[in-house]
Amino acid sequence: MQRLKFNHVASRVPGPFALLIGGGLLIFLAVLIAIYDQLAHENAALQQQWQRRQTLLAPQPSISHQPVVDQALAAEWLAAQQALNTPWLALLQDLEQAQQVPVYWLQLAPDAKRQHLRMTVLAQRRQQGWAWLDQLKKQPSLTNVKLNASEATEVNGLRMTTLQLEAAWTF
Amino acid sequence: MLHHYPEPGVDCGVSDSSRWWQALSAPELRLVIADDAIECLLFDRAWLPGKRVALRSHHREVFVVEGQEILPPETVWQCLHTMLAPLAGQRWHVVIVLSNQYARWLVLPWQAEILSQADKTAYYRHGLQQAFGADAHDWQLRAQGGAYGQPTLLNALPLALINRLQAVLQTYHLAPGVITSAWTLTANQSLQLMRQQRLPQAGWIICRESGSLTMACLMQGHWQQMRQIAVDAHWAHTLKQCLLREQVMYPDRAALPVFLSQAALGADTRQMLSPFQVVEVQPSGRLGASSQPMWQSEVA
Repeated sequence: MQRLKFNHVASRVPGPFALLIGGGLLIFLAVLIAIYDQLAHENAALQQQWQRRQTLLAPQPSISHQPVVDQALAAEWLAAQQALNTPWLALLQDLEQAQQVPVYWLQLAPDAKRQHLRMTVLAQRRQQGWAWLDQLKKQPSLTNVKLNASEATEVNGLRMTTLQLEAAWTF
Repeated sequence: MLHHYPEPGVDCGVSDSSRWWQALSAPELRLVIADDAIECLLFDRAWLPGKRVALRSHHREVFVVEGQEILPPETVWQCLHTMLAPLAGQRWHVVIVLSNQYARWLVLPWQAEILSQADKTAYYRHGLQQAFGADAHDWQLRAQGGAYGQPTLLNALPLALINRLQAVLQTYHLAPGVITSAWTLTANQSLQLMRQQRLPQAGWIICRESGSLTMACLMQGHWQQMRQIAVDAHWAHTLKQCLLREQVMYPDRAALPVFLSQAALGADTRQMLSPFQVVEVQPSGRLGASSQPMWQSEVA
C-alpha cells in the first residue's frame, strides 16, 4: 500500500524522483555523447594514420623528365615528318589526269615546303600546251596556275613549243 | 483540536510536497488549523530524506467556538496572521494541515468504462455531489486510485479555503508546499507502522479531533469505506458503538484492528474499546508525547 498524497497545492514542478530519473538520463546522455566524441576523434586519427601509411606504402610515381632532344635532330625529325606527310601520290595522279594531250616533260620542281610547283614542258603545237594548261587548272590540288613563258624551239628538226609554268600546291 | 503526534518525513514526506526542494533544504513550518484550535509547529531541517527531525517550538491557540462551519472563523484567521507575522520573509517549508471538518472523504467503486481523465473527474464530482449535496460544487478534488478494479479514495477541500490560505501566506512571503487534511497524516503514519511491523494491510484507521472522528476501513490494502462521525468527550464509547454496528453489517470487518494515534489514546481507552484490538500509532523518533505545546493560550 503506497503512501497517501492528497496535496492541494498545485505544482508544475516534477517530483524529486522524476527529476532524479530525468537528471540521471541526462547525465547518461552526456556520457554517451562524450564517449561518442572520443571514439569519433580516435577514428579520425586512425584514418589519418592509415592514409599516411597507405601513402608511404604506395609505389613512388616515376618522375617524368622532358627528354633532351637536339634542336637540329628535332628539325630533321620535323622535316622528315613533313616529307612523309606530303601527298606525292595525289600530285602524281592529278598531273597524270591533266595530261590528256601529249606534252613532254622537261622539268618538274615541286617545293613541298613552300607548296609551290615549277614545270617546264614541250608541246608539238602551241594549242596543245594551252589545252594542257586548262586541264591543269581543273585539278583540285593545283591553284593559281600561271604560264610564265612560252617560246618556239626546234628539237631534232621539229618545231616545238616550250612552256614554263608555276602553280600553288594545295594540300 | 487534532490529536496527532507529528512526524515530518513520515506523515508528510518530502515527495508529497509541491516544494520538495524546500522540504529538503528548509526547516518545516507546520500549521494545524481547526475551528477550535490552531497550532504552529517549527521543526529543524532534515538534512537527509528520512532523517529524524527535532521539534524547535510548538505553539497552540485554543478557541471557544459554537458549531462547525465550512470555513474557519475570523478569529482563526486573525490568530494565523499573528502567528505568521514573526516568520515573514523567512525560508520555511510550509505544511498546512486542515481539520477533517473542512474536508470531505469518499470511497468510490471502480468503474471499468471510465478511462479518460475528464470522465474520471466528472465521476468524482458526481459521486461527491451525491454524497454531500450542492456544497461540493466549489471543492478541489484529489483522488488516489488503487490497483486495477479497486476503489478510489477521494478527498475534497473547499477552494475558497485553499485560496484564502494561499493569500494569507502570500502576505508574509510564504508559499505552501503541502495543504492536506489531518486524516492523511494519520493514515500515512499507520501505513508506515504496518510496513515496519509487517502487519497485514487491514484495519480501521482513525483520526481523532475534539469534535469528530474520521475513520477509514482498509482491507487487503484497499480502502473500503470512509466516514466521519461527530463525537464529544465520550468519543471512545461512540467509536465502540460505531464499530459494533459495522461488525453487524459487515461481519468480515469484525476482526480488524483499530489504529489510533498515541495522542488520541487515554488511560482507559483500550479497555473501553474492548474487544476490538487497538494498535497504538506513535512516532518512531523522539517526537511523541514530548511534542506537547510549549505555549498554549486560550482565546474566548
